[in-house]
Amino acid sequence: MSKFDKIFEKSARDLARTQSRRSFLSKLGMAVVGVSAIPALPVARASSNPSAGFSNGVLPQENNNPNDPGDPSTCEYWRYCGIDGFLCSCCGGSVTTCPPGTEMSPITWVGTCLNPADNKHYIISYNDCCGTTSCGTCFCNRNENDKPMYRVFSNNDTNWCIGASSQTYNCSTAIILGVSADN
Amino acid sequence: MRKILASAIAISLLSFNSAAELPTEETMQIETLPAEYPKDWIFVHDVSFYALTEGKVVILDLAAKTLNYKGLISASVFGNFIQSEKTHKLYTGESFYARSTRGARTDAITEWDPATLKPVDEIILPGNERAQAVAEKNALQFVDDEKYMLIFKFSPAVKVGIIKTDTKEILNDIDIPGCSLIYPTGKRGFSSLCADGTMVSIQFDEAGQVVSEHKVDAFFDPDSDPLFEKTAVIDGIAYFPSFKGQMQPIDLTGSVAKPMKAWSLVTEAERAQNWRPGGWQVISGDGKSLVYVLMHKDGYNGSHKDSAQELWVFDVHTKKKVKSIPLLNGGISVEVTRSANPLLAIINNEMRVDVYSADTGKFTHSLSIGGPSVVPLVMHAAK
Repeated sequence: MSKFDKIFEKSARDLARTQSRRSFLSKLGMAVVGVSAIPALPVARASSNPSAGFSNGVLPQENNNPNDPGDPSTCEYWRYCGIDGFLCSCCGGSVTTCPPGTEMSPITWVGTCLNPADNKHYIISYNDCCGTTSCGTCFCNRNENDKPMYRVFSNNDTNWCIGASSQTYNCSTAIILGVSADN
Repeated sequence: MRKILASAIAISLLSFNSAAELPTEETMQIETLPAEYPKDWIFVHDVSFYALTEGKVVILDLAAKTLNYKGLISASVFGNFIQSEKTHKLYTGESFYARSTRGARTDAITEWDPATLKPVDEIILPGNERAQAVAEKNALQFVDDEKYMLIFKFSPAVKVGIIKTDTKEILNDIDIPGCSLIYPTGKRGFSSLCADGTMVSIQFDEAGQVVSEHKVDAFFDPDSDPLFEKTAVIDGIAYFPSFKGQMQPIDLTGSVAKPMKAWSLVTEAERAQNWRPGGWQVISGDGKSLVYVLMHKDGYNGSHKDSAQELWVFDVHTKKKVKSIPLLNGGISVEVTRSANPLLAIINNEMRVDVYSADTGKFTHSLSIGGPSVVPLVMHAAK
């Protein structure tokens, strides 16, 4: 990671701690794209049926950790409150790792999401995975505390793969950076 | 039996021969479009999230009863689009990678002939800093009667590139730290919205050098009620809706942006029901007096990109709602044509283009720009 990236990441983390908002990525997505194929948000999100979160053809992921509840292949998973993109959990990666063949962008947008298990806000880093074409499954767009592009570090419509050596967007992770100072 | 069969064949041949024979046809024929498009036409920008290199701008005739799909141009990787009102040429800001999805990046503005839809020229953007983001009208703009073309850059340093439109000469990059996008302002300049609830206004000279730069006092609160970065301009005044339903007019006719008194899009009763603007391109204007805003009920923190249930029409002079148009299939983006009988184009929940009469608010038909993976998000009425 270059010095520049470290500075950038630090400022992003500081921003999240002090301002408590999330942001995110590249393609915006609102909207159901191909109705049956993708339960996309926010249109589909109006439906509060959690079981509707699975992308068609993506099988549920078992999660036995009661402190981190929910299925990371569903858009309703708590860490995704500000995400905008394809869930790496459905793309060969996981909520914290990139799929094989991709590269994680060190430049990141961070948000703050409420963990329903302990009722604490966590700082979430939505690092993009980059370098191959769009994953194309489990599209998810949630915009809690998302801000327009003039608040770019809180904006999920920007392609953050600009921080990677190969900048094509593939999918997004949701990594815990820590507990927010807002709690 | 053989005789019967022979007769049957004879009869069938006879009837075959009696039908008019189709003439031979030419191969290698290609359609062209008029150099100046009818005002019922619209550009629909598909950002193509499922294959970002395949972004495109589809040209639709909203009014025709058939053959609505007129053609397309490419807009690769979070492309930008603008049409010249003077020459009617089309421009796309694009990024290309040497190996399609990988390899060396080249940013360029492509110039397209509106009649042939062929790329006729390009401006290579050194540094490859063009902002890659979901399509924004204000990321590629003309100023000073289209003498200059401005493109928004994010690397993550924030800049505006200044290009001379006729010679395609790259004049300068102007830094706009903490600010974003391009709102043409004054004789030869632009303003940008800033993270601290302000605007910066910059005028430049014929060489693209800054001659004045002013930071406007803070006039909105990006934390409690951010302005959408989308706007509709009427008589040089840009109208920005806010997440919670205020309308902020900003006078951009002088060299420095002048925020005017904000007014509310919602009544107290509507506010109580949390009616809010939402979608992607949430506002369009007729250029005369009306603005069209996508609205949804039961808004909440994060609902600002949700699909709308209704399209509300406001007269910016009286600051009153003149009409509510229920949207049959929801609404994510809106555009109004510049035709004599204006038509409303709405990107619906299934990513099709629904067409309504702007006068009556009646739904007339729905058009497709492709299969299930298209993501049309911004529309531009033909000029």
